Amino acid sequence: MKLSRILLMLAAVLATAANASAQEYERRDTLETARVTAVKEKMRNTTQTGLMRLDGDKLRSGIAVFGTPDIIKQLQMLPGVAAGNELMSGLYVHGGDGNDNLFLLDGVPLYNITHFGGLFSSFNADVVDNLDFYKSGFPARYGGRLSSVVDVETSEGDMNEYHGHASLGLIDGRLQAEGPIIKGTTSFNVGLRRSWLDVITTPALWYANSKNGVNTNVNGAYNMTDLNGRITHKFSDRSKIAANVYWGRDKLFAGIKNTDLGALNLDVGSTWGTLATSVGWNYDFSKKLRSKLLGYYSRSGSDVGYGFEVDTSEGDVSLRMTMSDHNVCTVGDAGIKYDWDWLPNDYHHVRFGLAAAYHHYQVSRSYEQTRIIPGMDPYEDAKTTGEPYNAFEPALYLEDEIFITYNFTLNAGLRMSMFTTGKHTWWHPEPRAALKWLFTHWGCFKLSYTRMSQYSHLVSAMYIELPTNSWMPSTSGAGPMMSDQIAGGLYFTPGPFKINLEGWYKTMDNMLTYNGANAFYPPITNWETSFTSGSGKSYGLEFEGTYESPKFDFSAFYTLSWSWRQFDAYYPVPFPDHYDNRHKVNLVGTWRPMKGLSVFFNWNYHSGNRITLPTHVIAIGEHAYTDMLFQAPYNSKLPDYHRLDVGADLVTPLGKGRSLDFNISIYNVYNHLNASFAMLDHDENGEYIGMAYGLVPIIPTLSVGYRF
Amino acid sequence: MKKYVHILLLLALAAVSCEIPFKLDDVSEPAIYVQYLPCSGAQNGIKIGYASPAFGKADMSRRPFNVSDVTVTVDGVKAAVEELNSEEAWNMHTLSLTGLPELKPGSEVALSVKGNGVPDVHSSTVIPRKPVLKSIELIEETVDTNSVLRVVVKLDKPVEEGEYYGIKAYVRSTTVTLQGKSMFDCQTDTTVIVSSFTPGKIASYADLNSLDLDNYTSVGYQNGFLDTGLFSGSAMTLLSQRQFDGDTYTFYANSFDSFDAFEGMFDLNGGEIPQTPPDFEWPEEEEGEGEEGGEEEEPPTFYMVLSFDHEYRVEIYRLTDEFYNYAKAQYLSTFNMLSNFGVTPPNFTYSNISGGLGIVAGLSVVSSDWIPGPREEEE
Repeated sequence: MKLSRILLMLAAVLATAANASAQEYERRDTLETARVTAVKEKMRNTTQTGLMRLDGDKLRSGIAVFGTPDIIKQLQMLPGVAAGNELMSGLYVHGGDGNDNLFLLDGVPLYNITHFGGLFSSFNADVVDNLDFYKSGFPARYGGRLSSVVDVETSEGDMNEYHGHASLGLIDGRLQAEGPIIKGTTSFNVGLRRSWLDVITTPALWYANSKNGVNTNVNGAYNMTDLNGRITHKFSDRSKIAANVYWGRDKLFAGIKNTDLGALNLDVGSTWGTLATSVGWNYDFSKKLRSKLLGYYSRSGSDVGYGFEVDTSEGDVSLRMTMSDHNVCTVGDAGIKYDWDWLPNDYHHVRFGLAAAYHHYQVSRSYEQTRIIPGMDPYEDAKTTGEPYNAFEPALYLEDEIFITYNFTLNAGLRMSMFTTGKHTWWHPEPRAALKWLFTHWGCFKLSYTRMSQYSHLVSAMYIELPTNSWMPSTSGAGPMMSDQIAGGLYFTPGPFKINLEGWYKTMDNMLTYNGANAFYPPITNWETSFTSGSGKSYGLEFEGTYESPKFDFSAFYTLSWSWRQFDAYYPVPFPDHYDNRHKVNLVGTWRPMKGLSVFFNWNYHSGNRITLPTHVIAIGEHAYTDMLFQAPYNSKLPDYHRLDVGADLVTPLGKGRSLDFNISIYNVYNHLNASFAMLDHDENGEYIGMAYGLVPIIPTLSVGYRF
Repeated sequence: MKKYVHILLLLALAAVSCEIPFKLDDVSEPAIYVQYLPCSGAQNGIKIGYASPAFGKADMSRRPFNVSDVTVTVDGVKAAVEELNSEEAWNMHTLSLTGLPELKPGSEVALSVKGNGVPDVHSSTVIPRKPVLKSIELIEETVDTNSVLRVVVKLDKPVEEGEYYGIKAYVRSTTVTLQGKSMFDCQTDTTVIVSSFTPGKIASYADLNSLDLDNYTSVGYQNGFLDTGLFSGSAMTLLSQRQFDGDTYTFYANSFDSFDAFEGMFDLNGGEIPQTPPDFEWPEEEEGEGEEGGEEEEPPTFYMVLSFDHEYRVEIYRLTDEFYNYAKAQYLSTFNMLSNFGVTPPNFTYSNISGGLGIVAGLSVVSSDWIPGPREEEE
């Protein structure tokens, strides 16, 4: 079938569906307009700088790479955020390192927020109610990470009616259901997501193995699953309790079985994932005094390893041998938070509370080998390396939003954080302040200062997210990281427009960079010796211009930024960071030409990531022996990055609140292969040139959903 | 195993990727590369080469300096400098020093080179205090059915944070045999072999996998870019305070699961190759031994081992910070395979040369006597 015919058919389907849904969406438009206005008002009225609030509907719509909407990839488009490596769910905020973002899911801090090496985030957009994203101006109630706060709240289930949504994308299927358990008082909301590639690869490999005519079978599969669940019970209008659970797991394995000489099995595999559970009780003592008590437990971990088994015999000779190697990383938290919200009078909004978390970090490597040969003593060797670390991290905070005059608001706060592990204890006062001056009814000026501390370090030897990356506490050799940030800007909301111009200056201390043997397995014992500590500095300007109307939304984001690092141990002067993208432009648009049809586009541009290439060549003996000297970190820039994505959401009502949803997304429409990494190479004249390698081509995807 | 995973990953990346040539910024200039490691207790020469910028047109044939422009002083006293191999060496100029005052602890050694079309370079180092060996004890042990020799090295005082040491170990095997045409027509023959070995640790695969670098970092003594072969010279294991228990460092002379296994994993075979230490004199050979030429002698029909002895010797180096950083960086640079693909940060080349590149770093050494090891039973 010709392409033109397919396009014509697709247009006809879209037009029919859109016409059918016209009336149903009139009401939704009105609500949408009200929502946009409310969000804009909220943005202007909030005192904090660097805050972006996104609601669940917005997060669920738009471009869905591989057919699954990704919250982190939406945040990557915002100004002041570098995305890192292409397709990955990296978040490098205001020159941060990517491991310094506080991800909260219903108040529970998460350590591992990605699936499949960072390809997808762990947040299932189907169950997300709203998201607060702070890049600066952090209120005192947040702490523990340097660079950003991503506070995700899942939705309460509908107390009166049952709803649900099922969808199938290019690589995963999703199911979400909500409704009352006891009508009017208790509800549930469950979201389930699972990739289904293994549903194809497993039978395909079974078929290939059955036809290959040899005694060797090859198996392999990847799958990821995550489950979000929430039960909410209302005791009264003043008292509500909610229990949340998030469970996510990735499994990747490959195996070879050969039966030529008895049994020979080799299995290589990895599982990794997160469990987060919490129970939160909201109680309003009065209209002026509210509280929330939260208890939680979370655990992230991975197990990467291989097993090898031989069981063979020929005549009188036999051999049985097993060998296995496992790298297990675990980080677990058990904690409580007690937050209070008090409005003593019209001039003060006081928040105070405490948080305490017990952390358990453990990375271990185990090796086991057995050998049985008749006539010889059996041989066994087994050893596990790695010791656990426990830490306790309490914090107290107090913040007061002071309405000095109608035009001036000050949010002043202090967070006292402490971290104790082994013989070491650190405590840091973390002052926070934000000032807002409302100089017209549609414009304001804001200024903020924040100090943040981070006591847990990500031990990683590579730029990509691997299950072998582990979290470790601060130690005497790798102290807590600290940041100070000043941010300020002008914020206008004239009519349907929103225009923000914000700048920041941020310093970071005790940052760590890997300086060891390059390996998939970062070190376990005395891991600090493979890291060098140093400092970082970042500053820049962000521009955000948004136009919103019922038919058309358009946002233009621009970031001009500098991000520096200084690690005296290997380079005496400041050098640019890996993701020092000088310019970043994002153009994001949504067009709703007809009821039920939304067309999206986003264009991304940023200056190329920095890479380290050798600075000098030493040769001895006329090219018999040459070596490269790496003298300057990140001394070269990859070619600039740009990409256009387009997509469309089509909702076809089926009546009685049911609908059929389609999402078509095309990632990298004009198939521009952006550089992912680079090396030195020679041109035909023998001169050195940079040779970059692009990996990600155009990716079209379709997902189909049914809403009930 | 990990090596194969690395290779598979890189092949996979290469298979699906597309090449995009791009222009490199000219961020580096031609420079002199210097390698000078003055050691109290040993005489070392200077090596000088030309480091061409990687981002420009390479001109490897240029000579970056004249010998008359090289100045070395010890506490202000100038040494005479002479080039040993001006003709035969291509971009590796080896210079010898004469008239150099004794390098004492605290002596400042300064080196400067006037560049020939490249920036002048300068660097200096201070010779550290000589370590004092209090005792060395050899203890025979059995670990997991393996017979190992534990070597306990005690210094005169506890090692403090920020102090760096290096250790090299040698074994001298002396075999005395009785050989000849018959029992009544034979003579004794003594064979002496001196080899260096890497001070080992009792470690399993799991330990080795943990890549605790300070425990396993071992480099050739003069392992620099101007040494042909990455691991020339006998291996020195780098030690920081963490490896010491107060004033004591313990290693194993013949541990089964020791550092050599670790090296094998990464093909760092230098430590496994027995070599004559450069700063150690061979024992005098007996007359006639090892002579070449003439007709090939018939193998003896009578052969009896009379004795087979091992003796051990340890050299302890006190390292300046710059030597430790340099040696560790040299070791780490051998792992730069993945960083070449942009997957990991690279390990940088350490330099303490202003105006150029390379290293001027002092160290001092003390050596034990030969210590008899446990005697093996005669067969």
